Amino acid sequence: MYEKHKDQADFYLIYTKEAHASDGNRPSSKVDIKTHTNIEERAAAASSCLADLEITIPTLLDDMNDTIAKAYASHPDRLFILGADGKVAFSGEKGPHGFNPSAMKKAFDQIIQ
Amino acid sequence: MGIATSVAFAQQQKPSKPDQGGAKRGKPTWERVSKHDTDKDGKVTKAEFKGPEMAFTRFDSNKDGAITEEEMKNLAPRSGGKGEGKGERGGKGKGEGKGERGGKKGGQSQDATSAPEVGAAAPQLKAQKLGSEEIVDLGKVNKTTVLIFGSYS
Repeated sequence: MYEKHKDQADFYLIYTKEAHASDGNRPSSKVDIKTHTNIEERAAAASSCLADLEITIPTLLDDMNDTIAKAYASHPDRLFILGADGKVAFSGEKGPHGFNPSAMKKAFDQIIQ
Repeated sequence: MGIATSVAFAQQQKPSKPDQGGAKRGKPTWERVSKHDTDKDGKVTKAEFKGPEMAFTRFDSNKDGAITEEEMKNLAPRSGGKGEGKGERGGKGKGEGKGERGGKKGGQSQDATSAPEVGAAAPQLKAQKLGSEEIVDLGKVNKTTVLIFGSYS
């Protein structure tokens, strides 16, 4: 979707605190990343993620107060579309089970028509 | 779940549904409610909860969109249907439009209990691009902008 539409819209991955940090209550069984203690660690985790998954979507870092994630109530993952008017055009359900790329794509297709 | 699943999900969707094995009567307990905790993160979100919406609203006493064991332990006796009808996400009209916040500057830690709704102005926040000095102002977009929140784990 990003590759197809990157000229029509901006796409940003917003990298937040780890959903399943290895030193947290429910560590991931797939990746070993500790709770970020500073922005450099967050940046390193994000970089690993992008490299390992070959993600090319521009990525933003949430600050260490998790300001953006909190404002969007996004933890652990969530999708949004902002319209060209600066207003929220699509507000997805909270992940993991509410995370629905198909619903987001459907909304996106309608918006960019 | 994090970005790995998020990216993979671009091609697929429809997570499996949890058992709804709990009894429909009797005092609600964390033991019953926790069966909906499909990602085993210790809380049951609105998306995970498959019971009646009114029940979720009642159990989620702090209206943060998730039921915890603590809330179930402290659950007040039912006093007749509350029926707040919150729609898709709890806490409508909360945590929205609180004015300028500098994400980069680590300003006020605004805990939104619900996401900004469709039609609302995007939160006035900025963020630094990874690997760059560039600051992106998410509160001043002038182009359709897709935001994907997540982490590697």
